[in-house]
Parts: sequence; C-alpha cells; structure tokens
Amino acid sequence: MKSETNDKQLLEDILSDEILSERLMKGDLPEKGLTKSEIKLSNDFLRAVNINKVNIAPDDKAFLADQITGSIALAKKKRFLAWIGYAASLIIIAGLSFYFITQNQPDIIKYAASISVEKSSESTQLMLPDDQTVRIEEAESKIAYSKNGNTIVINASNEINQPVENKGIAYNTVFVPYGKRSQVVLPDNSSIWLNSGSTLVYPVRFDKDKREVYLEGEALFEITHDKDSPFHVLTKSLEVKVLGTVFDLSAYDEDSVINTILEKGSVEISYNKNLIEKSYTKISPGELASFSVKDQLFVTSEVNTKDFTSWKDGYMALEKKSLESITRRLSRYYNVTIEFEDPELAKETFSGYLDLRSSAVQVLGMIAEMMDIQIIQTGKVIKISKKGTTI
Amino acid sequence: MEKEINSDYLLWKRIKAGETQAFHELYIKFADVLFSFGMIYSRDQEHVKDCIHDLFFDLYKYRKNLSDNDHIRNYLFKSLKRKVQSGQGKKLKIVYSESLQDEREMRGDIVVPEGEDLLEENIKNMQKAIDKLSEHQKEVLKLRFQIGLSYEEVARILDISIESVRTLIYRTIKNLREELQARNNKIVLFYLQIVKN
Repeated sequence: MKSETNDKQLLEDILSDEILSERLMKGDLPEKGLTKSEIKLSNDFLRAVNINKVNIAPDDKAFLADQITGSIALAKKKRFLAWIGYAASLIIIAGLSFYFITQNQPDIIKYAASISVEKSSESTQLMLPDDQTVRIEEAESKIAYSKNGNTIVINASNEINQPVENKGIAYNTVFVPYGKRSQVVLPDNSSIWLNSGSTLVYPVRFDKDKREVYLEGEALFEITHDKDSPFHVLTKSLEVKVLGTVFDLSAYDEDSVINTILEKGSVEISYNKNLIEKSYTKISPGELASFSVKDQLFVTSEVNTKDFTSWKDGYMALEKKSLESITRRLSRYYNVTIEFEDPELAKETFSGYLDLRSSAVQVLGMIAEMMDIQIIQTGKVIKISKKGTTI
Repeated sequence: MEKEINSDYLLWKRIKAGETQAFHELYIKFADVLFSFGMIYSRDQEHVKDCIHDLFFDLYKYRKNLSDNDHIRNYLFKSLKRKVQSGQGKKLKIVYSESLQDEREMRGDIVVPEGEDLLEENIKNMQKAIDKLSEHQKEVLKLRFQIGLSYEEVARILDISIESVRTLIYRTIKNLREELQARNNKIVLFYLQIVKN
C-alpha cells in the first residue's frame, strides 16, 4: 500500500486522463493498461465522489415540469391579455386578407370585397344594389326594414322603397364613419347597432334556413330567436353563430384582436384553422372571447359586459381601463386624434361612466377632473399632458 | 455527438420561437443533470427547484435575446449556477458530504441505516479525505465526476482554461491520494504501536 512502483499509474494519472476517466465513469473498462488494483482504486474514488450526489425525485421532476409549463402558458396568456387590454377598446383585427382564401369565401364576403365604400366620407352611407347610395348626416341614425325588405325607413321619417325580387340574393350595405353610429333593424326584427368606423353587409331578405351578415368594425347584435334559421355574423377571420341573443362583436380591420362579448343567450364562434378544418369556441353570458388573429388563439374571460356594450346607449362604463384604451375608443367614437405628451400617462387607469352625448373634449375633461391631467384641443387633435405642464 | 449537437440546435431554434412543447422537451432532457448540478451549490432542494423553474421561465421570457450560437448546455449550467448562488444571499459553501455525514455522525454507530454499514471502510475514508479538500477542489471534482461534465464544460463554468481544469483535477486527486496515504500510514503506525505495547 505504501510503496508505489514506477510503472504503476497513480490515481491522479488515471483520473485526469479525460478519455480514460470517461470510460471508467461509464463502467466501460479498458482491457489493458490498468491493473485490477488501479481500477478498484479509481472506482472507489468515483463511488466516494458520487455518494452524496443528489438526484431529483421522479415526482418532483414531474411536478416541476408542470410548474414550468404552467408558468410559460400563463405568461403567454398574460402577454396576450395585456395586449388585448389595450386593443380591447379599439376592439379588433388587422389586415388579414392573406388568411382569406377567395375560393372558399361565402358569397356575402365576396360581395363585401367587391363593393367600394367611400370610407373617407363623413356621412353614414346606405348602399343599395343598384349603385344607389343614401347619405345620412346625423351622428346617430336608425335604418329600419319592413318585414319583406321592400321598405326602408330612415330616422323614422325618410322612407325608401326597393324592389325585392326572388331571383338571387341582393345585398345592402351600411357604412358608418368615425364619429357616427347607426342602428339597423333587419326584416326579421333583429337590431344591430353599428359603432363608429364599421361596415355591415346583409341580404335584403334572409334565406329561409340561414341568416347571414358580414361585419367589419364593431356592432352590438340583438338577434331575434329563430331556431330554424340560425344567425351568422361573418368577419374576415371569424364566424359567430347564434340562435337568439345579445352580443357585441368587434372586428376592426386595423385591430389584431376580435372580441366577442355575450350579454344574453349563447353563441358559437368559429374560424377556419385551414382550408378544411374549423375550430369552434362557445361562450356563456358575461364572457368575452378574444381572438388573436396572428396567433389564431382564443382567450375567454369573464367581463362586465356593460364595459363593452354601453356605447350603444350613449355612455361608456369603464372599470380600471387604461387611458390609452379609453382614448382609442374615444378617438374612434368622435373621430378625433388624441395624443399623450407623456407616454407614461397612457398607462394610468380610470374607472367611471362617461356620457358620450357630450363632446370629446367634455368627456376627456371629466376624466381630467378626476386625474392629474389637462386637456388641450387644437382642431381635431387633443393633447393630454400632466397637470401644470406647459405645452 | 454530432447528432446530439444537431438536435440541440433544432431544439434551440424551437425554443427561440417560443414553442411551449420545446421547453418541455428541453426540461425533460436536462432536469436530472441540472438538479444534481444545482445541488452542488446548495443544500436546499426547494431552492434548487425554484431556480430551475426560473431558469426555464427566463429562457422563455428572454428567448428573443438569445443568440443562435449559444451552446444550450453551457447556457443552462452557467445560468443555473448563477441563480442558485445569487439566491442564497451569503457566500456559498460547497458542501461535500456535510449534511449526510453530520447526520451519520450524530446518529453514532448505533442506528445505522441499512446499507450504510456496507459502505466499505476505504470509501468512507476516501470521502473524509475529499471533505478536507478546498471548496474549489471539491467543486471541480463534482462537476467532472458526479455530473460527468467534459473538461470543456467545466472550464466554461469555472471561467478558466481547459488546461487549468486538467491541472486542477490532477493536483486535486494527487492531494487526495497523498492524504489517503498519510491516513493509512497513521493507521499502520497506530496498529504497530498497539502491537508493541
């Protein structure tokens, strides 16, 4: 034990040899070069070093795996939600035209793509099949159809007649510019309130077994019940199917999230996963389904539906909404540009009711009274800054 | 080996793309070795598990900042070591066999768990000798012989050259062997004394 002969390999020689020690660790013993006692000593060393090696218990390993996957999933969802947070008020969807495969499109979408709407116009427009366009100047308008679709009454006073023939389907289109709203009462007595900057396409008379409309922008739907004829709202990337219900759908082209908020009834939302497959989601009253167009992903959450639908009744109910999201909604509603002098201000939150019958400046003024901000209007641009700053 | 690098590279790409499944695969692949590795720097299993969680979560959060060239293993080991050490507040001690051995010594020889007494005397002695090494020496031995890291990997973790790793391992084992020999010599002397008396 004491004496080492010269040709005997010492422990340090064996173990500092990277390749040799690798083999020893794997239990893959070299046939020659090492004596039995050398191998034994090396193995004793490896055992001694490894005795206090701490291994993870299989249960712990599985549990930790779930925790990690859970944290990542939550972060993904949060990121998506945070992003909805600001998009929600804008409510909507980006130019996804590439998702859109022309051949598979329902007729109504093809029709919607074929018409040209004068979006720069400041008046609400009702477009009839024969290239006739009716302009409506009021900020709030109501377009009501008679049961057979022949008669259209605008703002309860102006009456228009259009012949409804049985051959083929004829569509009408309503475009509402920023700063205006319109309520459309369809032949089946369903009401659709169109929010600013929205387009609705619908047939003059519905098919017997299917009611189908096309929306760009945001609308609140109050659909009459007809179990034999489900109501479908198509957007560029989503389809919402309902039996009878009240819900808000916002699918603005420039927004990347489509929100569907259900007040009453039940709806089924679907999108084309690919050419053949559809993916479906159902929501219950009080729920918001946010669809990320980019990620092709739904996130459902419980919300106060009034936050999303109260614009129809001329006010905005807000609960801890960021100024950024509020101003985006207001700028669309009033057709004004709202800017923040200090980007940090955009993150401040506000809760309360805003009366949308007041002007944009008045509404912002109400917010300013409760927060440390001041409002300055120059033409169509409104600037928000911290109280006391000079611009 | 080539294949290994290749599959790691593909996994890395999927990680960078934020694919949840890729994180799971990476975890399954490295959980065992990372945990044992982390335990070199801590006595607290929960702490090490937390650090592994954070390691993977940070990887998700900062995946966009990762470069294509990052070597996945090096990244994981280095980051985990930093996390385990920084989370412990005080300067860390590499515990060789302290926890287990303290317990063992406290229990005395009366209650010895099954199997422990089967531990050969020479291995126990070897362990005691390892315990006497410096922290740095213990660390390098564990990285190399417990975790099975290559010299290159050890070098990256310790921020020294591969040559230094080789020298460090060589000297450490030499010290160890000499310590063991000295111990054995003492035993022989002691035995001789008894016989004499």
